[in-house]
Amino acid sequence: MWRNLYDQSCATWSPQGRVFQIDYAMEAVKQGSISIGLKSNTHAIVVGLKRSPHEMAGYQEKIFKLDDHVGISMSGLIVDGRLIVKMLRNECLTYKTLYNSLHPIGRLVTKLASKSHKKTMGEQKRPFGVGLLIAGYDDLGAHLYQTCPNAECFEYYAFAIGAKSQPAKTYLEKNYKTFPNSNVNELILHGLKALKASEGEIELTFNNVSIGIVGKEAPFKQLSEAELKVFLQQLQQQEPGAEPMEGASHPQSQETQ
Amino acid sequence: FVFFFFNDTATTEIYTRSIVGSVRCVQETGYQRRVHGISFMITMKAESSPTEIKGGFNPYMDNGGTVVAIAGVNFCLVAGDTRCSQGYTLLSRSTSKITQLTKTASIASSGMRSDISKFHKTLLVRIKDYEFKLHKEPSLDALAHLISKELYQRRFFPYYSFNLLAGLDSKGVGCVYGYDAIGSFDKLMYGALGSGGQLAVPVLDNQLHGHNHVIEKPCESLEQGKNFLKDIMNSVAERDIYTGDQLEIAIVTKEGTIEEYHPLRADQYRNCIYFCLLYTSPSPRDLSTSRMPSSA
Repeated sequence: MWRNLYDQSCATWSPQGRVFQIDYAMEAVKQGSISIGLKSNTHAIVVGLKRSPHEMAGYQEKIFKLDDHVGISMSGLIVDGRLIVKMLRNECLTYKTLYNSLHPIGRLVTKLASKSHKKTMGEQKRPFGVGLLIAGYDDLGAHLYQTCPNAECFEYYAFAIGAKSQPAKTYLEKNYKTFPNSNVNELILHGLKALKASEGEIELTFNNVSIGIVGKEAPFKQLSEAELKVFLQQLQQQEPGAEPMEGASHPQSQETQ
Repeated sequence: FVFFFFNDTATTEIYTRSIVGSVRCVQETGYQRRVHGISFMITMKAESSPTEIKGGFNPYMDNGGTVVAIAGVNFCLVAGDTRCSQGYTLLSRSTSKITQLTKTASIASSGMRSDISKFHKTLLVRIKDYEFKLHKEPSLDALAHLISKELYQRRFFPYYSFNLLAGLDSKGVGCVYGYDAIGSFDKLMYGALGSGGQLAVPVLDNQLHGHNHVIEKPCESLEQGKNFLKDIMNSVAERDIYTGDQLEIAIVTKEGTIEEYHPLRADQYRNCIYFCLLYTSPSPRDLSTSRMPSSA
């Protein structure tokens, strides 16, 4: 209808003050499989649900390391994401070579936002079709940033993007106040529970779940198969349902806090 | 060869000597011939140049120092002194010549400090790139070829960096690779480069290769290799004014790389003359690096 008149390119505004191409690009992110991010005072983690195109195929990687102190999970057009990863890795390496220190994460995110924005201001170019959750640890502490195709970036305590992200966000909203003082194991369990809240029907195995953690004196790494299995087992033991952790009903959490 | 603009004969000598020094470490005849060719061309160009332009473009400087490496049966040792000098002036007593590249490989270079620093940083970037793309550390053989290629990229304005790569190969046996300034390289049992390289090579030849021994085998014992390195570098420091202050040894085993530091001759004259190497060398045979016939 009217909408179709104003959505031919990024160079066209609609009468309501929207650029539809950018909105459509944001939709692409919602088509991607879910990514969840959360942080404490000492660590930041990202959890991704990996998709496989066919039962005979492998799974598409979503979590990538950018440098020792920062890594990402992406949702949406993964191929656009790989371009972004290449660019951010180069930025981190150049900064390290020039200044002999790790790239401040806030600055890295604004560099990405600038690049994303350039893509939204032309006839010929399309915006990136991928959203990133950037987890990192630098001088200012642990960080979790979200970036979108519309070149906005925000810092979060916890967030989820991608398909069916609302139940995960609801879980995180209920629990995020306990995150700052949680240890990394608790944080991972929260992430898995948020994932379970969104994608409860799919069986979560070490094949389709990937978790990246980074923190104080902990360079970014993805959990290995063995480590993942331990956490997935703990997740199963803490069934039924994705209930928030309460002190009385979960003796485990009392011990660790 | 348009890129060498040597007007100052002393500088030419230093550069030529360094090239010739590195040739002695290259054992294969094929490479040796090629590198010999380059060094001869440099000297011929300087001598036969009819018009000597005073004050040209002279981008190179030798900051001195010596690096030595020894391959062992299941370890590798690479050592460098930590002195950085310019002519007779001491610039620093604690500048490292060794950079760790991977868990089981380190590179040691002598030559011009700034070129070495840039070259090592470039290598670290290439290795990081390799690790991102292939999800593993490069093997020693891959590193050896990478270094050669990186040096050759600068064929027409070489890094003034004479390098020894030391590490463990995929079977866990120690390996040393020696390079000239533009990337010719060869696998060695031991190598010595730098201002004191020529002083160290005959000792290494004698102790590790053996007189007329045909079979080359890597050094058997880590302790023996380490003590041997310390002895060699102490001897070199006695005779080469550009080597001294502190010895840094990188010990590469399959568990990783450890660094050890040992003191070397410091050449401090009564706490007054701290930065000058002029009155320090007791090497009457080597007239270009000593000035006093009898000295401290």
